[in-house]
Amino acid sequence: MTAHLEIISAQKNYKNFKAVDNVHLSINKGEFVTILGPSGSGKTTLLKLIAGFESLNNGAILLDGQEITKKKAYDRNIGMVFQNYALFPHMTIFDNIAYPLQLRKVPKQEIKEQVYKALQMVRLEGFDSRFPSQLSGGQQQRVALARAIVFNPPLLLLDEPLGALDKNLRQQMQFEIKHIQEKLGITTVNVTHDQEEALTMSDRICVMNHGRVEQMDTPERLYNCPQSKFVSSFIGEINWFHGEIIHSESGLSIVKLLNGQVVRMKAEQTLKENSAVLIAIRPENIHVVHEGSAYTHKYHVKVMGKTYIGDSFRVEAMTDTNERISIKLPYAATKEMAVGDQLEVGWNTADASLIPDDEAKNDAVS
Amino acid sequence: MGLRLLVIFILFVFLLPIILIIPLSFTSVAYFQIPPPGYSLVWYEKVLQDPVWIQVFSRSLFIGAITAIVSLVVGTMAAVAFTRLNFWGKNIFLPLMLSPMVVPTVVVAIGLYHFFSPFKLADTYTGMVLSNSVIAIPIVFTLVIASLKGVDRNLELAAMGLGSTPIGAFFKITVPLMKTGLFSGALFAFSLVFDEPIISLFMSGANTKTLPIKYWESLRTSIDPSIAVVSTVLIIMTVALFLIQGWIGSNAAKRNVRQE
Amino acid sequence: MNNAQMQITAVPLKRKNRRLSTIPGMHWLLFIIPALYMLLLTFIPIIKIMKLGVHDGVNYTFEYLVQVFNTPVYLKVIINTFKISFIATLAALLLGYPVAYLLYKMQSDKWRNITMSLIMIPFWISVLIRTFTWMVMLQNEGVINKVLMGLGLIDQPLQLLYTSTGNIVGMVHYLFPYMVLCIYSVMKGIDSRLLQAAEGMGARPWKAFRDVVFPLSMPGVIAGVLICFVFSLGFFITGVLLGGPKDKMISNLIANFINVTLNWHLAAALSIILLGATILLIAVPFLIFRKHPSLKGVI
Repeated sequence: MTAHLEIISAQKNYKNFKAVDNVHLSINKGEFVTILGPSGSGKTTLLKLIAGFESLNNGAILLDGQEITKKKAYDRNIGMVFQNYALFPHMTIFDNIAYPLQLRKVPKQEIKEQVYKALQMVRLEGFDSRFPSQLSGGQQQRVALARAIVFNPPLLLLDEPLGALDKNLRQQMQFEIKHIQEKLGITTVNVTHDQEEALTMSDRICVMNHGRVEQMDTPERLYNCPQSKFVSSFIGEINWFHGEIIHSESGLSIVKLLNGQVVRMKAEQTLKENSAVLIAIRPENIHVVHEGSAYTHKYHVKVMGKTYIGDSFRVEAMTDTNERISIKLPYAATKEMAVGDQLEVGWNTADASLIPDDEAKNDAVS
Repeated sequence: MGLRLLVIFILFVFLLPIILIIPLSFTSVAYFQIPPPGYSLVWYEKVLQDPVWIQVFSRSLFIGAITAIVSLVVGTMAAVAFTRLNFWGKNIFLPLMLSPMVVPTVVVAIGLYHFFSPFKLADTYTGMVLSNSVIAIPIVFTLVIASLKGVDRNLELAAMGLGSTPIGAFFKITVPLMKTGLFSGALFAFSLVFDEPIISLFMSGANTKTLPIKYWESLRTSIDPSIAVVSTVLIIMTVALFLIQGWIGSNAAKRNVRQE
Repeated sequence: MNNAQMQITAVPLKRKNRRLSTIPGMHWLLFIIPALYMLLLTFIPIIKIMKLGVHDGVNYTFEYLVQVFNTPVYLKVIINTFKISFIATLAALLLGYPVAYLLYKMQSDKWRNITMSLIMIPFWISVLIRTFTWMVMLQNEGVINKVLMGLGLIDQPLQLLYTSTGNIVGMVHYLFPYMVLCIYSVMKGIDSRLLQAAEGMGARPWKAFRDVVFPLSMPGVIAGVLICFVFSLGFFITGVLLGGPKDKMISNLIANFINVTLNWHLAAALSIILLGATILLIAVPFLIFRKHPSLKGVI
């Protein structure tokens, strides 16, 4: 299957600052892809490049197999929902949604039908004669969505569309947007810094940092098999055990941890011998060792503190080698736990991922 | 691109006459020819030796300074009252303070002329200061309101929390922060006495003739390059004050950015 | 902990202004003094002069207002003032709008500040000086005529000085910065993403401008037109120095009544007309446009 939207070695510089640095991206038809990253990671610039509001310094963008790199924004036929919705304040809701159709010289009667259909889809029937300022934030958001899809664009771009909404509304809108997107089967690129939004809505997530793509994967793979230190820490909570590669051969690496334990595990990328690595494990994958439970690796830790986090407790602990770890435990398991207690915890290599420690040198200095 | 060229042309046409006056003031002949057939300083000498130009200039400096002080005090009081107090009639207060901006100047001028006559205030310094300040106060008022809005009220409250009196907090905290607005306001009131002819035409007489009146009379009766000389001096003065003001403004802006 | 706190509270507060600020109601002076000042020096003088227009010293009368409208010479001045003001305002709008739009579109803050300064420098220079510079420019041997003749557009100098053209040029020079500021201050508030949104949906730049920026800049256009028109009605200087005999404005006529014919009543009657027109021009559009929902958040 050929990609629907393809970005080939995209490069965008502002003076000496590389906002987007050699980005490759290919997105399939009907796919919902989220570009996730902290502010300044280049995610919004990438979206603007796709929309045509910024031009590439280098590289190419292909939509439906056609190159659109040099096309102006108004010739690209892409729907977009802006961060602040960008509804025209001087037009009614009807006129706002009808605007892209009028530009395409659609007959009046048909415009009417299309607009009402779009309004129905976003559940705003009866709001057509109001002005944007008379709507709530969530309603404005829906109008923006209706306006972006009413002309059946091949591609829908969402620029932090839920950023301005409060938490409950945001969850509801996540569901609605996803629902509409699936119903229409429209290829969608969403930009956000909210990891929860990315995990719940996306077919695939593209994590960006410093203008580069760190990893692009399904939410599950991104969460369970992060491939860089940044990705592992940006999405969810993570524990790192520092180590060193002592042997690497045909995808299998042997890692020596700080406490002398040796781990054998598969690495997604080839890692050089003697290079510093991290073994990343989610807090929920570290367990208290009971009699009879088998773990590939066990640690003795000292409890430093525990915090109630709603559905469970987060226990902060310190290993013998002075590595701080955080463990997620159910209430029952922590009931009798006190600061200073010794604890034996264990984890399995299957739950861990091996990633290069690209900041090892910096850490040594600081 | 076409838009840019159009704008450059418009700004050029509007700046050109002002720029061309400067070489004209150095002309050697008694009429206005561009470019001048020869250059000399004769017209500068003539203006400097003319006791009337010197007198109206120094008189304008004096009246301008007093007007600036009066307008600044009244305008700032009004601005502080408007932004910090809630009182009955606040809706009427604003149009009252701003009215001289919209009422045609000639109406204000004859109104004051008529009003002053029983008090024998026409052709006095007091009359000149009062009437010019009426035109200047609305501008001071708006400029100071604008800069007061930029001052965080919490800074003052913090100072008061630390034991300062409201008045002390205002002078120590707020006044330094709204320096730009105060300076622009005072500058406007001061230059009004050099710029605004209509009020002064009615209010001034033989004892209180200010620069714009002498300028106006010269334009109507004896037009010669000494007017270009006076214009050049005033243009340079104005641009210099404009630049100083811009400099103070940008310094204040920079400081605010750094604070954030 | 406790010791430290006690030490802090022990530092006495030195209050120089204590007495002044503790008198109750002192702060009301902030409001009372300016209000009285303006009441005494603007409101009352204007009311008193207005009264002269409808009061002959014994009774209230419409005699003077009727006289103004029944005297063709006076009526002509009034009509002329409105006509010239209209043309000057329109010209200022046509010149000011593109400049404001360019300021809005400019990406670089540095160039925007430079352009702004170039607009504002004439604004700060005395209207008398600017009028004088146009006297020099517009004279028969002036720069304008020289350039036009040099380009071969005309054979002999055009009479520009002491004509309505001259008057309007001088007025437009004065009005232009006000117009630009009024329009730009509204445009500045138009989110540039609205333009992007329109272009993203397929609107070419000109169409996007026409459908988005232009209608949203209308409050600025209306404000600029009103302010410039109101200023124009009160113009005094340019008509006398740049205009011809027909370019006398209402203000000049009022001054003439006061200084030459000493007819205070007619001057006052004309002032009523001038001020009345001004207030109508400002109040009516405000009342009409205030409630429009599409302007919510724009004004």
